[in-house]
Amino acid sequence: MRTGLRMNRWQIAALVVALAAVVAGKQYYRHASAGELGWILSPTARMVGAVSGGDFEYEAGAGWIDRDLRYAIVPACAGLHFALAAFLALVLGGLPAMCTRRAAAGRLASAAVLAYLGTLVVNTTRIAIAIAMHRGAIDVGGLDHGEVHRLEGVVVYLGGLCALYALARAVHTGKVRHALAR
Amino acid sequence: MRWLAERLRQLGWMAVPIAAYLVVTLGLPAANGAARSGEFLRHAGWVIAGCVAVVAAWGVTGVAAGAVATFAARGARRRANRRAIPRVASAGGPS
Repeated sequence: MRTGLRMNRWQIAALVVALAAVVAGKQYYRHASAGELGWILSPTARMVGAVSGGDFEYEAGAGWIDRDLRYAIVPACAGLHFALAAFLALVLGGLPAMCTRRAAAGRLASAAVLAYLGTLVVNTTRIAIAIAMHRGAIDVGGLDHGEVHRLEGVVVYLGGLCALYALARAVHTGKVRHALAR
Repeated sequence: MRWLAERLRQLGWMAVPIAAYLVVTLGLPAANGAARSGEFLRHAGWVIAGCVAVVAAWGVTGVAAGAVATFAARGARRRANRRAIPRVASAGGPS
């Protein structure tokens, strides 16, 4: 009997690698300090500074702080959940193309790179909006700031994740069309 | 209803990124035993609300873009038709 979910061994291997990376990433994020997350927090702090006009400086144990803005980019702001979700979504979306070992390895690597770059852009957007709300540039009326910040995070992350996935899908579809046209 | 079903079918691709997000933000913490805490349920409520908001916003944007494209295509077709039909009065009238 044929089923629509039939997968070859490279697709299964890629899925196992992606799920293992997500579980390991979650465990790592749970205990990681600001210094250990520097590989993602440092470029984010620089990009947020460029976008919102702040000057974030690293303070050991705390994170990246702008005293004038009175805003801190701490480990909880790293966006690692977004990065893991983006990696998983890109791998799931790319599964049909992972028919060989080479294709699977290439897809996994490109998913990791895209997830990292996407995280920097989307997380910078989320923090810049949060800073604007913190400054009062965006009026949230009588709503609780903590709750609005939380909803803003979910909406920006999910919107960014869908946009990143749609972009990857469009690029892949375009490549397939181009290959068929040749 | 068919129109709505068609719109939802077109948004089907969003299931993958949303499922990935739900696995990371709700599935794994729930598997680690966080589901028992009230704070987790509150967080889950915000995540679900965010999902609904993003799907609705994407759907509305898609409908609006589709309406604009249809309107523009109709206008272009009408202009092309007008250009294609010869003016009877000027062609057959006295010169």
